[in-house]
Amino acid sequence: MKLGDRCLALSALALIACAGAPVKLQAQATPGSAAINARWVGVWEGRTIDLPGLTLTLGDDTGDVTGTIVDNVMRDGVIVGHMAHVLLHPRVDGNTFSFQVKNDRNPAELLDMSLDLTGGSTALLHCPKCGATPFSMAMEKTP
Amino acid sequence: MKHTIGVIALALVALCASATAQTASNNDFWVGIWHADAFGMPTGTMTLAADTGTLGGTLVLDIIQDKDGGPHVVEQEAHVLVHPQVDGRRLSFDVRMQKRDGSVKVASFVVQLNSDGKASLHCANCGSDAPVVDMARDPDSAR
Repeated sequence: MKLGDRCLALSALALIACAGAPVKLQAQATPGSAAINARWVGVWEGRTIDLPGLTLTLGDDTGDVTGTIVDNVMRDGVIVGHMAHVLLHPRVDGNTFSFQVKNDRNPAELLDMSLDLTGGSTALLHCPKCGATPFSMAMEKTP
Repeated sequence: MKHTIGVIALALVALCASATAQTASNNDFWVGIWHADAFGMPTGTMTLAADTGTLGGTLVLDIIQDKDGGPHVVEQEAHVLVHPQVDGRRLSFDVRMQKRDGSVKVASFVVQLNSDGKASLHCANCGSDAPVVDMARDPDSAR
């Protein structure tokens, strides 16, 4: 695919998906909920020491906001691995999106996490029991 | 009689354990972060996890614009996988797409595992000319 100077080129995936035939889903978002969900839907990144620390990907394809979280495992300032999790029990309440994540160290334990909107594309991620002390991280929604 | 019931119960337990192990084993091929590239450009990221025992995840479609002398990702579309189903080396799911005119279409994707860490992504209901996109799993994200 050759890109033109003024041409907005959708990715190959987006292009092929846009041509898709309609299929009915079990849950459909209402116009009101779609507007509320739009504040959350997207890719949120949290950084530690100028390196990506967490990536939270949220979508509302089922009508409700849910998604995945990727924890970048770092050692000596270098990313050495990624742990992907599905969000469990997601819930939107005003400016707060709360969910649970399975604890890597103890899979029987679910960690409570919440994302508080602080602006149009900024938020603060809280996890009271992710470490010895309550954990917070500034998050930014990618364009 | 008690002995017979005991044997049947043990057999059922063994069958259940085998089925669970099989599911976990199948999911291991998929769990992680998959990057899609076409024509040397990023086109999407699929994040898969199996925290609930069944596979789930997100798909991010990259929208690319040619500016400043080269292609850049200018926007990302985040989706949750709807109805993900694993059938051996094949993963299928739907994604709900909102078009620019506001209408909604659902694209049905199929991911075929070619080898460990390599796969191809195809939209099954996007027309006969829908491209097949290569995907590679980030080796640091595999469980």
